[in-house]
Amino acid sequence: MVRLLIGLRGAITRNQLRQGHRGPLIAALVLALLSGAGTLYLGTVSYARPAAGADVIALVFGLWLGGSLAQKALAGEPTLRPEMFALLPLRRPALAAALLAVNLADPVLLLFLVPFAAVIALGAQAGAVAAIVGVAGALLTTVLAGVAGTVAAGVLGPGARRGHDIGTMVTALAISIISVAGVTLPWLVTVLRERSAPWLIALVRVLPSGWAAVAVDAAARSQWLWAALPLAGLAALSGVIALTWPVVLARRMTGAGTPSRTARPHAKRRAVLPRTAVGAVAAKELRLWVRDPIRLTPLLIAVIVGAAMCAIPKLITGTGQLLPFAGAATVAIAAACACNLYGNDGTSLWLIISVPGSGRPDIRGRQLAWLLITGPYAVALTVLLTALSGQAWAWPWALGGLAALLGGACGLIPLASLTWVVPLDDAGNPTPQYPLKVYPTLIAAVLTAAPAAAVALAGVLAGLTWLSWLAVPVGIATGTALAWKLGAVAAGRLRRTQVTVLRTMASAA
Amino acid sequence: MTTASAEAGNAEGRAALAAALELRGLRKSFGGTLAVADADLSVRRGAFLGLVGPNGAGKTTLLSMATGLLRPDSGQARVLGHDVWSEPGATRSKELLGVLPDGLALPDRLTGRELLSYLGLLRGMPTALVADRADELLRVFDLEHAERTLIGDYSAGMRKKIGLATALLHGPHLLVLDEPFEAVDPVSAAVLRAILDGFIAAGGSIVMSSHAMALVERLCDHVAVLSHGQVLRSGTLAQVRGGHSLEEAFAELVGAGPARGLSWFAS
Repeated sequence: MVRLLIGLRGAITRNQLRQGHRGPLIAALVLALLSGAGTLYLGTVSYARPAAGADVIALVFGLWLGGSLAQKALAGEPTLRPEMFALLPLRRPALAAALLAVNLADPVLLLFLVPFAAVIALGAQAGAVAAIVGVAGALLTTVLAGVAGTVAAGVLGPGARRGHDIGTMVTALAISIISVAGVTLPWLVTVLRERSAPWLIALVRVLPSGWAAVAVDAAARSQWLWAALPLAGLAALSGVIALTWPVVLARRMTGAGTPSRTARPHAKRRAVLPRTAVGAVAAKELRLWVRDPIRLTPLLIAVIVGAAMCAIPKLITGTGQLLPFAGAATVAIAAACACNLYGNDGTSLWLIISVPGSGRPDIRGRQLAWLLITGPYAVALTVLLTALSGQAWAWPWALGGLAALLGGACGLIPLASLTWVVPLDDAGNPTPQYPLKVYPTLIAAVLTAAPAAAVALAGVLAGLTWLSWLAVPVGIATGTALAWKLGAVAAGRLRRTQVTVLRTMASAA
Repeated sequence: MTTASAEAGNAEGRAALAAALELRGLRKSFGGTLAVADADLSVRRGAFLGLVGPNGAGKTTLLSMATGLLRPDSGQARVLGHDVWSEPGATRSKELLGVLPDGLALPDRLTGRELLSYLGLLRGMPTALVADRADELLRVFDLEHAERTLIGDYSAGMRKKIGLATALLHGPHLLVLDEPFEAVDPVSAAVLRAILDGFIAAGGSIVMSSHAMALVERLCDHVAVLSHGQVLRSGTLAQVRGGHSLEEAFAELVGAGPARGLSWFAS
């Protein structure tokens, strides 16, 4: 059965590749391989103290393993969904074992061997035995990624519906932690090499992602019991997780634990938004931002990463210079993540096409909703953290930049959403093409703050405080202009391309 | 009278005489496959036309082109005299049309009432009118008990019913319904039939695709048979049937062979 399922997965994947764009997938593959090679390189570097190498690799393995689990929880099973086999007369344990074996034979999982080979390289620095321990560690960590990923997709993936809704928070949190750790990686590596944060060393070593590195470190010092124990731990952990898989699978296939989602009754709620076409779109959008995990997840990530990126340096080293820009960072990330709204909405675009003259209200309503979701939070965060930081110089930078970003993002979001509209995949998840839209949008969003930043900089260079403060009205002016103008351009584009976009969505559905 | 208003008056005058739906030479191909081949169809005002055809005949493609959801490669579609694919007719035709497409999504994370309220306000209807009609539609389609259920959790039949409610909300003059009775339970089907009968009695026109010949015979006064993207025959029910049952006439028109069982059943 395993061979049959591998063949089935191959056929589905080939068909998906034939229908979709190969370029972005190849780009994602190249990026993954480059990142893997970067991790592998960490194993070849010589460290002042051998233990420091193990600590650094343990940290980076944590990012790989955590990222893999978060991706699985968000995306679920891209090809072989358990529900496909619900009606076949297969014994559940046999099906569970077969699906697990198929997932362990996933070529994508083999890619993990590239970064995980860092422990082999690290061991080789100490000798042949430590290298062999590294081989075992790399293999066992890869198996753990495969087994844990299978169960994470089953419990939290989109196929689990209710579990997926709850899992949104968990996934958002995991992705946020990994993103923050990724951004602050060079600094964290320095801290580990200098052993200036014992708690961080303890943390990366106690997590299962660090056990392979711990084993190699012990083998390098001929502490064989401490080399064997983490490896045995990895094997045991994979085994325990694998034992839960048939139970998870049974719940998935019988639909247990998937109660209906309900909305709060709203009959008595007073309408806050105007009862107009724009107000109706904004109200609909606000509900979707709150209820749809595809939208809520990136929003939560933006909130967590935006705040953490700017607050962590303050918490660790006392450097508070980034604090005033947490609101602006949140807005830029949230804008980038909202670059594919029409792709996320899929074929429901037919409703807009069927209602004459609804293109402009649709764009303006989407802008208004996004502004209501992010604006008050970002403004409050900026004012609070700038005040707390006690850095008077930062006020015009933070306020001017935020105003420019909020308006610029409001304009960019509908326009980006109508530029290269990417449908969701069969399971209702973003495809690998989505990040290729996110990053250009992030850069474009940041650039919208350039005029305000330039004015603030001119004030600093000229030593004129009033000139720096001019960044605030400039930010408001550019923000308003960009929101208005880019929104109008997006409305025109929607009018011209809506039928083509619907056709793209319908073909992918 | 100014020139512009005179032209508008003439357009309205032509529209007053026009057919409810007029399709002329509609053509659409996907890649190398011709889905609809120069299809012509005229539906007179007040008619209830059933569009029948085998799987893959091009019914959904034809209706999508007729309602502005899929751009034809060539040909024309007019709703009560207004061109669906060029302004100013496109705007007017969409005001007059109520559409239930097949296979297109509704916002999964809204409740039925939220969807109707959103669409009504988007169409510029007064708030009170939207609320009244949403109340009545939810009650008539027996969706009131699902007041807090998101559309994503609706059954297939409930989705069809809320789709019909969106088509009816703004008081259209022509309904174009793609498989409206599919997955709808018998009780709801009776309600739907009564609604559609009332719509015709009030002067509206309906185009409905269906695979259920008995239903088409029972409800429709006109029929069009589509096969391989071409309208093979259209007219009144009696003209298309030609003295046979609709099912027999349909099988003869599309050239269906005798139905056979599976070979291994015989052993």
